[in-house]
Amino acid sequence: MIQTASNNAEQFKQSFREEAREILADLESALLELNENRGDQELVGRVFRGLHTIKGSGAMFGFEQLAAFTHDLETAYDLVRNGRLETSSDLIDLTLSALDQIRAMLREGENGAPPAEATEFQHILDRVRKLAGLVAPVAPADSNADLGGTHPTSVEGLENWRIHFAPGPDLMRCGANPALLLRELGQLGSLSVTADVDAIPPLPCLDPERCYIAWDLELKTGASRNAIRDVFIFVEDCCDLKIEPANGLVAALPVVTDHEETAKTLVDPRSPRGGRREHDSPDTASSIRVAAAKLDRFVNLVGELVTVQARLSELAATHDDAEVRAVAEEVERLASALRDNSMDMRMMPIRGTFEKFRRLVHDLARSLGKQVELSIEGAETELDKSVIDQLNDPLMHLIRNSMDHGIGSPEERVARGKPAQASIRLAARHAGASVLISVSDDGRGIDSEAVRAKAIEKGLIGPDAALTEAETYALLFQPGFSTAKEVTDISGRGVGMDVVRRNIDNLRGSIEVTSKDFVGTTVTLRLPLTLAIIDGLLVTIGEAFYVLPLSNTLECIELSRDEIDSANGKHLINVRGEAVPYIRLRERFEVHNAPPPFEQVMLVDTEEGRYGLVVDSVLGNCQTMIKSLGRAYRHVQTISGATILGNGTVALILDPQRLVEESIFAARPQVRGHPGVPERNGAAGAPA
Amino acid sequence: MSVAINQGGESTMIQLSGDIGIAIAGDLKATLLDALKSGREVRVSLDGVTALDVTAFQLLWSAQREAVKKGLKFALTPESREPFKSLLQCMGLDGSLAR
Repeated sequence: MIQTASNNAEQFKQSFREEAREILADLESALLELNENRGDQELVGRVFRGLHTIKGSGAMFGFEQLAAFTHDLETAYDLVRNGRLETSSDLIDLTLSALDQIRAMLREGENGAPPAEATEFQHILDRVRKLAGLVAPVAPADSNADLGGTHPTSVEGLENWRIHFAPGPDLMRCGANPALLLRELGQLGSLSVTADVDAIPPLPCLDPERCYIAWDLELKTGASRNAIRDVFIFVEDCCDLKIEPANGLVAALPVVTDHEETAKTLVDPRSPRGGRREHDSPDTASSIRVAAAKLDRFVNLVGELVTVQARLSELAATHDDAEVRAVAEEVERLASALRDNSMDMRMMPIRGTFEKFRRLVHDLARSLGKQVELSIEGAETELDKSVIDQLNDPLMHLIRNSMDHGIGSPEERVARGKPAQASIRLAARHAGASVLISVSDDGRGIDSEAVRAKAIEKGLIGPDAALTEAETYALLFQPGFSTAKEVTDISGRGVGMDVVRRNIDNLRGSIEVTSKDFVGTTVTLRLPLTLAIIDGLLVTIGEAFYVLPLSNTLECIELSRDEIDSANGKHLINVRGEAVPYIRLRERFEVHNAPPPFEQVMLVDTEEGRYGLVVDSVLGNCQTMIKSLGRAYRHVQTISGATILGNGTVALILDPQRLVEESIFAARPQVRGHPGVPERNGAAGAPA
Repeated sequence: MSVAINQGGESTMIQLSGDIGIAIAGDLKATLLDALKSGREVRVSLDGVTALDVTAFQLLWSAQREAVKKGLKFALTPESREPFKSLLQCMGLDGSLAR
């Protein structure tokens, strides 16, 4: 029982960490907005409430140092919202640094992470206190502190307040501690506490996890009603709370219950701990938090069900039984609906990923001495979680590149007749079965001549090579390619764009770059909506089945034995006057039985150009759920996963890009620009 | 955190240590019920207790009331009543629980 209690405590802590990180993301967003709108009181209130929530719940879950650290920040923003402290850029920058420090504190003890840097913690605290005019350290939330300690505001005049606080049945289970709430209330002024224990039942009937005690309190304080109410902000949905003035002067104010006050005063209500947050979309009546691993398991099971259903349909088709066929059709309808629903569950708006970059742009702009505004469009565009998880690095590299190389200094921009403040736009939209994500800037554009010169210098192209604009820009994604005159902390090593290309390849996506001198550059990523399902062509090679992704496949051409024999050993096929090389997959996979008289060349589009993959036959289109091959086969790069067909057979999913790369390497390993075919970090398969 | 019971002699001793809160409240309730069944005086030692919350107070309060109903003695035996004293004071419960 003790071990279980200890495990539960760790579980609560981890739950707090997850929610605190969400709050920190919202805080960061609010601070960056506040930076642009200094007088916005709603934003100030949002920042205050976020800090207050982290402080309160941090103390409850054993993060005392974090609570103490956040306490002074909260104090500073309380002064701001009472008009006693200015929202300066120093304060905002300091608060952003403090959020980083809080993140470090959250990582402490998580998966063995070391403690956060103590000197940095103290340095930030000292600067906050200095800014806020808190000369003496304010006492942190401490279970041994006396009541009636220093209070953060000293407004002239004290008022008497009568407070009734009756915890609901679930208040303790939510992790709240009435004793800490009362201590915090006591810090606002002189507090008189009367407890009502009448509701405590006999011991055999007592629910040990429920609080039966209610309190009637009298508080003499200079703090505002909001400040008093804020003490209970974390538990307002789990208790009965009444706050009313006790003296005659303000008796004219209507006595309101807490719920009415919530509706009137809170513009951006923060829901109590329970993980629910207000979103922009209207239909957020209820939602629950589910671990990603559980969702993945659920989707996997649905995939298995769909596979078995396909087998049932095949079997039903071969039986002359109308009733069996009818049931099979119904099962197919339900399985299809279940699959669509389960895939929909994994879809998430890209907002969270996009919003994270506001902080990056803000920090980079400061360090580069540039003025940059980030605008976001299509934040509600939904993608599969597994796709979103892999987008962070590519987008980060693209933005860093844009800010470092694309966008000039304010002076340079003004000299060119542009506004000093540059703009970067992140946009997302659906396009059929894909999603298009673009990063655009209004900077210098890409210098095509510089790219060409660097490519010639590196031997990637000959001096007389005639390249289209798209082919020129594609050179930027070669490993080690950079036209940067100097390597900065931000970019310039030629590593970032290669990472972008590889990550997008892993996602079965593509990249397109458009640019205009002195106007700007746009990089567009085309990505599948989900990695879990693939649209492909089912083909055979020997006795085995394979799936070729439709996204890469251009067309299918018949290849006769005569054409093979007349090529004199060269694997080339004439496609409308163009000689296209092909790879005989029978040879690649060492299939030795006799080939059919006519084979099929699947023309695929790769980064090395058009190539053909020769298969025995094409059976038709298929849309299947991808299964990962697992760790044992992670080094098999030419196969990106597997799927189970309706008849129970396993079909391997081919990776045309890797097949072509390996063939080129096998044929000419010393070709410049192809140092080898580096292994990717895991094949793109179904989510684990 | 732990709850230990020692039933011997004329009284039943319940030894509490560590943080006594909601995580261990179920154990504490079961132990108090067992102790009250014995028919002997119940002594609860707070030595070694580092923190208490309201659930602990409720259980002790309710156990004391149950003891009184059964005609049993119920006492807390710490050397110092901290942190219990702080809890009672903070929550306006000082004097609610007999020493």
